[in-house]
Amino acid sequence: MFTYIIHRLLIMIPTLIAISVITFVIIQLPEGDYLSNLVQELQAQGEAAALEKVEFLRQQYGLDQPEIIQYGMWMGFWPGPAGFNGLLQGNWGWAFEQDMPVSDVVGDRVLLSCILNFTTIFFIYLVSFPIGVYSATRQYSIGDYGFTFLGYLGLATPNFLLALIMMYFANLWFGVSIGGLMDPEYLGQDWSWGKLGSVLAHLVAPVIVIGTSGTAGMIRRLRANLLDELQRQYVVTARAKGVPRGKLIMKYPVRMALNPFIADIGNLLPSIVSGSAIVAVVMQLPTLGPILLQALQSQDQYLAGSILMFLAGLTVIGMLISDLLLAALDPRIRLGGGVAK
Amino acid sequence: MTPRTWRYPGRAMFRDYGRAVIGLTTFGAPALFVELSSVMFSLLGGLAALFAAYGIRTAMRHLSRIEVDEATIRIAGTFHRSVTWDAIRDVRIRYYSTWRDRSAGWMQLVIKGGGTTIRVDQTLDGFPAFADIVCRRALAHGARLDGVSRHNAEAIGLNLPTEPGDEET
Repeated sequence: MFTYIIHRLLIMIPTLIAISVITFVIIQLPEGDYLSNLVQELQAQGEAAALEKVEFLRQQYGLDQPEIIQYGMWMGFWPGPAGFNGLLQGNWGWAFEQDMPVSDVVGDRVLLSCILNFTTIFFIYLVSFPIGVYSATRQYSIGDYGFTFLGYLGLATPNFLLALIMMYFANLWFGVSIGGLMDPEYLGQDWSWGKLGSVLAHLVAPVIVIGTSGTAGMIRRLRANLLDELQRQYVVTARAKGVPRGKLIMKYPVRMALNPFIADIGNLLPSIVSGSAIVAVVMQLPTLGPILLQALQSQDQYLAGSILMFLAGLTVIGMLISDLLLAALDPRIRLGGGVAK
Repeated sequence: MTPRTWRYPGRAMFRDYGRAVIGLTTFGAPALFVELSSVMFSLLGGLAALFAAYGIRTAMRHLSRIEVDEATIRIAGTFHRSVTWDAIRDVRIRYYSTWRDRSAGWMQLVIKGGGTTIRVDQTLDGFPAFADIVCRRALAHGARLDGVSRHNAEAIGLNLPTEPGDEET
């Protein structure tokens, strides 16, 4: 396993570099940048002092340099006026619109985004596993039809629409707002047990909203995999030999059916992260989503780029976890595949 | 049984050294020569330490040889270990691949018993013959070989005898 971890880590290096290049190129694609737009505004207003600061920022962050050097400075591969001082060194850059370091702008939002996304993944697995096993072992029962119907509903309903519906009915029936991730008195406060409790209580609604489609997809996938396994000959033989039903299902077919289920963590993370951005806007969640959207609209390149790199890093880590779990769970060669000599 | 000896071939070891050097350079050089935040220093430093450990393990493998005789299987070298055949309780053959279609991977033989674990990678010269001897002798001494290991053993051309209770794995 140690050798496997080393091989996987080595693959992550070019992956992250490729993601950073793509992120930078995409952010640079639209005409102009935040500072160019600001200069035009300030010139129109005749504010010479502010123009000096804009010029200082342009030199400081190398926005007057060729794009390859801008990329190098952003990543920390190339020295800027302050030496090597980019993402690699832990400097996320400057948020031009907010006029403060990116790390100050994102602040707690990084942690809250991680909590929200990982809780959603936990919720998806917690809910979909028993339902998937139940649906497969009781195929065509009323319960199976019920969960299948709910699953299709979950797959077909966009997250933001579900968020709007939940917010509307929570307000109508209970008179409460389920937006936000904590009670207003904890906003901007240091972390405390009270704040943590408030965050956990507020997590319920967004986790359900963001996790519904993922849960529905996982239920369908686990059900299909398990049904395939249950029809195999070894299951029929074990049943004929009188192996107890619970032991028979959990020890062999469920274990086999789990492989694609676990391999999906890697695919689940990007969809949750991108899905949660829109839901965060609708539900006013203090996560990275709304800031990212705002940064992309205003062409605030360091803010958008750093958030995108963080989310990409989160996804790459998710893939790593998924691959490690899969290697531990099913270390079998696939016959027909090659073995290195 | 005639005593036999196996070694890791130099070419495979140099590939592993290469991996250790790439990892150490990528993660260790910034940690040492660039001013980093404490979080980045811990992250890159930790990863560099992992690759350093990998390099050390590769060097140990390069210098060691694996010996099998009538009574024991032993790794002779800097950190020698041995286990007698009758002490072996569990033998596993695991397959690892970094490709999504699980092609181009490698096998690892794990031998456990007598408080010792011996891990041998497929890069060992003559790995199938070595795995065949180990599995047969371990099975003959009552060790356990699970279904996954049997499946992988078949893939490298081993035709192992069945054992009582194999279906329980």
